[in-house]
Amino acid sequence: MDQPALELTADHPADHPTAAEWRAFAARLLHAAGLGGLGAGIVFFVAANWQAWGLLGRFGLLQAGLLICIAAALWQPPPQRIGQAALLLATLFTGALLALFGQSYQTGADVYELFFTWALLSLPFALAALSGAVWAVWWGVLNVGLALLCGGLGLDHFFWRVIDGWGWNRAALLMLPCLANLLGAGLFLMLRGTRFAAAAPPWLPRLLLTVGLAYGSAASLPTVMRDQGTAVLALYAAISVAIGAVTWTRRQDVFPLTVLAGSWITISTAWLTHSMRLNDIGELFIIAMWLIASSTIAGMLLMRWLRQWRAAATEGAPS
Amino acid sequence: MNNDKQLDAATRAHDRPLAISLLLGVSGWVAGVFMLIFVAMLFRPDTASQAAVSGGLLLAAAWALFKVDGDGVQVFVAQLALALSIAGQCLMLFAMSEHAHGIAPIASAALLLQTVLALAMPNRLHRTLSTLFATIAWALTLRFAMFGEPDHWNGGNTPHTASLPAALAGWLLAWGPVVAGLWWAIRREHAWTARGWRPVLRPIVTGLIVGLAFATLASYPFESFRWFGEGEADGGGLALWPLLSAFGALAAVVAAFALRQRGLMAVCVVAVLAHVSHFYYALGTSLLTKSLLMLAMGGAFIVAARALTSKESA
Repeated sequence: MDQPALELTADHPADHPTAAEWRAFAARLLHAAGLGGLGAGIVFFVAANWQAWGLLGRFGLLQAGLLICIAAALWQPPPQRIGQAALLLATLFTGALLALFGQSYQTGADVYELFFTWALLSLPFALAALSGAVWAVWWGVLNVGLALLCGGLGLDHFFWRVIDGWGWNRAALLMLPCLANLLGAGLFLMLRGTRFAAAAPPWLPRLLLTVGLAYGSAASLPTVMRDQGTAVLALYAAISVAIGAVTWTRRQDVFPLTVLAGSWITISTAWLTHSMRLNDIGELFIIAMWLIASSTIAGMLLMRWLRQWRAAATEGAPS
Repeated sequence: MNNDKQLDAATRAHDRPLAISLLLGVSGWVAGVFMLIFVAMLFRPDTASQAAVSGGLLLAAAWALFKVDGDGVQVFVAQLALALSIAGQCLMLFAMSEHAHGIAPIASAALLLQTVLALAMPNRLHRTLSTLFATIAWALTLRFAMFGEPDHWNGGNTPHTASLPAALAGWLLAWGPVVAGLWWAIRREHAWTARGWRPVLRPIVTGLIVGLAFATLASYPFESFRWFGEGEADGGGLALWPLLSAFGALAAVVAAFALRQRGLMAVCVVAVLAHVSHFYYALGTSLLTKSLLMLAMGGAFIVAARALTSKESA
């Protein structure tokens, strides 16, 4: 086989989208960009705090928007596209109304409370929409709330006095969003086998898994960098083993193992850097070699498993 | 038999998912930084000629390892080569711009170096990374060549402004050729594949897509935010730039779709969201104007999507 033919066979370059696929893609992209534009416009409008309309006018405008969205969702209920789009905008209108309320009446509530309330009030919309995009927005809202709670509160806050009483530090608290996101990922993975599969596109559990493991890594780093208690590290290790075992049993997707590998390469490199103190140039070489070796081993194993699992899936598929 | 082995090697190297490539790329890049410090401390290349020799040797070693490796089939060799190359590039850039004054000559040296490496290094991941860095260097070269460097970088306080048409022309001059190049490359993929250019051009196209999605940040006018130094940024109606970047990232989504690279599409969507978030903070235009602009654009997109859908179903 000559070289060009070899390349053609190897990667299917001729496989460009057809005219029909282009039209469908253009419609989807325009629809998504339009929804994104409208959503951003609503958020910007509330943030602008436009005085010309008066308080009643601004509340009325947002409430009317929310009602129109709910009416549109009832008129064309999900999984129809209009219904899903309306519920996505309704989720954003809910947050905008809460923000306007906080902006206007200075309730004294912490910002994380706004996001948790937003997540709670918009949960019915996310449940009804049967859409991965709406769930992604909902999880985004919840994660901002969790991030503000775990990373944004000062140590003099009442919340920290309670947590301190339990003997928790910030690293331990970061395991809360880690677990929340991982449980979410597991839940959506299970949904994929049910009639609600449309609400759980493959990218959603992957996204939640990545966010969850990022929180887990962030929680583990202070443990290895400052020689703090090992309970958090042990918990994260146990979670990692469990995710690895589940992925290995399912033999469908190497993505969780890839993110786990990245997480543990980061943690181990941080530990090496901290332990060696970098007093000697040889230690720099060792760290470089560790990064190369660990990523190499991870890459080789991941690719081997990927090919094995693909081959097994192809053999098992009906012809 | 030999051809079967070749085919197997090529297939094995090309079926790597984006997530694994990202893991390898980031690890190799960070390892390269440690390697650079190690080499710099070991050989102490203080002058341009010493840095050029050290950098040249490291790049040659990386090239040889990539050549032996057969484009990423032996992962350890490729990772080692990537780390050596990153260290070599930094030393070579130092050698090329030791006596340079200002960012423009450094950016143009980086552009030259990355262009050569994108074409010469026989490894897909390396070509993609080099192309991405080349797009950043290209945008910075044009920007500083056209508008000079801000006075406050040298401790002065003179405002450094470019007129809106000039800044817009600079942006289009930087990114217009990238979009045109992508359009040409994707349309002509059959032709260049038949000529055997695929191993070189496909990773370069991927690098251009990532560059179009993220590197437009390098073309922002000076006043839209401070790169470094003190003082408030002065928007002066320049809130336009994050929106232009968002459109660039949308074009990158389209290019990724044309190549059927779903992972790359997801990366470009993240870029779109990042640019829209930046638009929120961009100075020079009120939030109300931005809000109305986003609502109008959103409405127009929805109407266009509906028109396209109804035309198709009719």
